Amino acid sequence: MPIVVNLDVMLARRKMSLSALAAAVDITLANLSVLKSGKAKAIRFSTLEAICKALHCQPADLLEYVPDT
Amino acid sequence: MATSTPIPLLFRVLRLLAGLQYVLSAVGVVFMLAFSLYDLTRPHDLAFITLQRTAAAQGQLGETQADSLLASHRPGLHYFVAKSNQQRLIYREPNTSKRLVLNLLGVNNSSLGRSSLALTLFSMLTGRMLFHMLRDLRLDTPFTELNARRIRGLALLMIGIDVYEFLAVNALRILVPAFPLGDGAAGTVTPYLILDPSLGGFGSWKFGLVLLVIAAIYQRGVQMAREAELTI
Repeated sequence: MPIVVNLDVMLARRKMSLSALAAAVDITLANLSVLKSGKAKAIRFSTLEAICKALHCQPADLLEYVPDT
Repeated sequence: MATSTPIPLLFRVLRLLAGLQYVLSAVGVVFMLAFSLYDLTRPHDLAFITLQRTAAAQGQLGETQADSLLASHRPGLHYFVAKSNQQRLIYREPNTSKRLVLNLLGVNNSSLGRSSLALTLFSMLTGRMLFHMLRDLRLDTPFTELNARRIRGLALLMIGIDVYEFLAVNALRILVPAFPLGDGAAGTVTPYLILDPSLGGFGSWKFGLVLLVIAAIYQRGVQMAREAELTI
């Protein structure tokens, strides 16, 4: 998929673990892992909002468009 | 953690009934097979076909036709027994293997009433599928690949039973020799044969086709459920 989720990069920058984020945004660790690994098909605005709030970032910091070659 | 929605009472009752249908039909299949084989050893085994006198318009035997048939009849492989407003054409088949085929087709039903191996098998399989479907049903996640396959299976079974009936009636016409009618012009009685335990033009293939469409829609539901699962 040409949309890449850079959640791991943001987590590293904020020095936050995935489980800490899961607790902060009230999303199961399993679901966050799906998002991080790029297996997710879609992301809800509410989820995006919660993650941006917890990581003090913009949606563009989390999502990136890389065209398929 | 999401709490699971309880299954409605109606579904539980249906599941119980489907389970009962499955078990009883399975016993029926065993009994039917055993009966078909046991029947071969009996010296007076009879396959019979019911000719209705009352429904001449629907291709059955007319009143006068039946009377002339009775008057002209000489005993042979066939003979008649009156049964209220119907004439029962009793047919004695001397060939054992042919008799087995007739028994398995459901022509001989002297002890079982209206039923045949195929119908019992159909009843068993539909009961089984319905039972398994209702057993695995979770209202939180109703769309599963397995249930889609079961609905498709039910649809194919419903079409299949009608195809079977068509083939069985034709096989019966081939297997049972022609019997001349009294007036000659009417030909033989074999075109008027009723496979006694047939569904009688139930037309289940129509339901089968509808069910196939529902199965296709359900399949799309399975895809959508999978997509929704991967929406975070």
